[in-house]
Amino acid sequence: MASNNENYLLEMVDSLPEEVAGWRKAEPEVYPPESLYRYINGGAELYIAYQYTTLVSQPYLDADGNEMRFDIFDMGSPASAFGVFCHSREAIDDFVAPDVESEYASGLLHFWKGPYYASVLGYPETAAKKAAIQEVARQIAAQIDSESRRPAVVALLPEADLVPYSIRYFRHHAWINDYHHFSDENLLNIGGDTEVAMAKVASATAEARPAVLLVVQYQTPTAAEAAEQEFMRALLAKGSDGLQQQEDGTWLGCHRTDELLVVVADAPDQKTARQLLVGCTERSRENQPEGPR
Amino acid sequence: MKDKKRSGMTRRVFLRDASIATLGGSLLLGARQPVLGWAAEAVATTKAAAADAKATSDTTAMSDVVLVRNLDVLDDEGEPRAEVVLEMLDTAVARLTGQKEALEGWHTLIKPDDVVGIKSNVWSPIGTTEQVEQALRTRVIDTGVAAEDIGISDRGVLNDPVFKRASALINARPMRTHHWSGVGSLIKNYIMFVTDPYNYHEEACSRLGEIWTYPVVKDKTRLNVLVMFTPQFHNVGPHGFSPRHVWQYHGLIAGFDPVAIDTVGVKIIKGMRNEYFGEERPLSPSPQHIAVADTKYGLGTSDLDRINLIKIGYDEKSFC
Repeated sequence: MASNNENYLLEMVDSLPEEVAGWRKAEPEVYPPESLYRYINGGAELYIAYQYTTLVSQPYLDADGNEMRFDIFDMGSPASAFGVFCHSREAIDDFVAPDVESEYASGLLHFWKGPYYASVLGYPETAAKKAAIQEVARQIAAQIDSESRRPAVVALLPEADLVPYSIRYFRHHAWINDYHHFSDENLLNIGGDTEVAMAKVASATAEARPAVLLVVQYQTPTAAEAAEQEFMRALLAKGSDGLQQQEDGTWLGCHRTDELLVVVADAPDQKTARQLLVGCTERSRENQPEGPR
Repeated sequence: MKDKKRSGMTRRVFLRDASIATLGGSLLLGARQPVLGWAAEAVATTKAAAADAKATSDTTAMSDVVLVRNLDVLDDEGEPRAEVVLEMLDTAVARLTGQKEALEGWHTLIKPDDVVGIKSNVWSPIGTTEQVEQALRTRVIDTGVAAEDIGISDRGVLNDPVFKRASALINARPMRTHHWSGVGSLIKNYIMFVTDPYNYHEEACSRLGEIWTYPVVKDKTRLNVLVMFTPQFHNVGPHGFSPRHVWQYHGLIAGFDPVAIDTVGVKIIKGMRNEYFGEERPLSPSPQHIAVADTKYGLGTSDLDRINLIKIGYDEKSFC
């Protein structure tokens, strides 16, 4: 029996135009998590890790049988949709709409709105194909009336100081090394109920590389404390007081308050490292973040 | 019979617009004498050599890895030229086996009574390529193997009649980044030899090397070829293919040690990422299955200091 999520997505694609610039709509396909492996060769785990619930793939075919597929994932929450979009994007544009975060490049479009993440590849890129992609994508986005609210934990990052488009959000330890290699182990015990916001903080000088900042929101102070101790045991020397200079001169450290653990790496100096750690904690007190929706 | 599935987008079309990026600097690692026993008596000594390598893994074992690059390998539309592919492959095999002529080298790898499975990779945007598959098949035939005793397959290896009775395997695939395992590698290419590939996905697929210890493939691999014509160094979207993150590298890496080749491949991919992003950008997840294939399963070496990298041909921006 089809789920409500599935029915909603099927209704969404049903209302898309039958033909766009010579591309005719074909039968949609539905992929729940247990069958995603059949559709995505080797990439299913990413979406499963972000806890998607349903994928509807809507193909459009041209007269020669070439295909463009609009893959629309119900990610279960805006947080997960935001997270999977952030996972690999390098920029954000308004290709779909001013209020929709998207990225279009070389025929590949992906965007998120509300709890939905969508992607389509029109390659090789042509002006006509690009226009068709834009038209269908806009119609998809227009049907989504959910708010594109970012996860609350992301607001704890110092947004004004971040390297543009560097924010990542995830709930699986596999991506903790995106900007700095901490460990192949799950040092911070990041699991399904733990949220991580990560970004690079621009350096004050051109010579220094950006610092890497992680804000990890645990369910309980006990869980956060255990992760803090494991992180310090594995990466910091005894007596380092949560902050230590590395061989390359940069600073690595962590700071915990209640269920929030903040980690900094590649900081150019001790003062900057401490400011970044404390700043997140202070914003936490000010913002009183909500949990995932 | 091959099990290729071709999408509407052909490789030729895709490659025509693929990015060409260059910049350079390369370091030829110091030539060392190979001690892994994979030369003239490679077939006969496969097991012994592996055992030797394992036994001496902490001391002197070195793995030869040959990187051949040729700017002519891709035509104006980015399609591999079959004759250049064959030439590159021959160059690599001759060097690897220490033979003057490539065919002599091939004779040390494959015997006429072998049944040979060529394990390919059919991902449509960037696959092993038909040109590489056919170059391998041509040389296997040249060693005297009957055409009906040669199979080329990827997802159908467990049901392919040739693979079912294969005495020898040739492992050939491209390298590309991967959302879950870090990279698609030679080690990972054997995942189709198990019926439950999804059970090898935990911890960034770190257990993939175990597959190489299963009877269906164990000690059968005579040659590994990492196709680096157009590797992809970053993934975007559910299908992973991102045209702007494809690099025309014009390379082919061959060797007997899949771990060593993958290690070199990862170094190259990392170099491309750092170059493109303009900063250190680690692979995420880290391709730990390659190191684990070394440390836990003893399939080869992931230590660059124990890899004898032999670079032949074009050497700009090699990243290794």
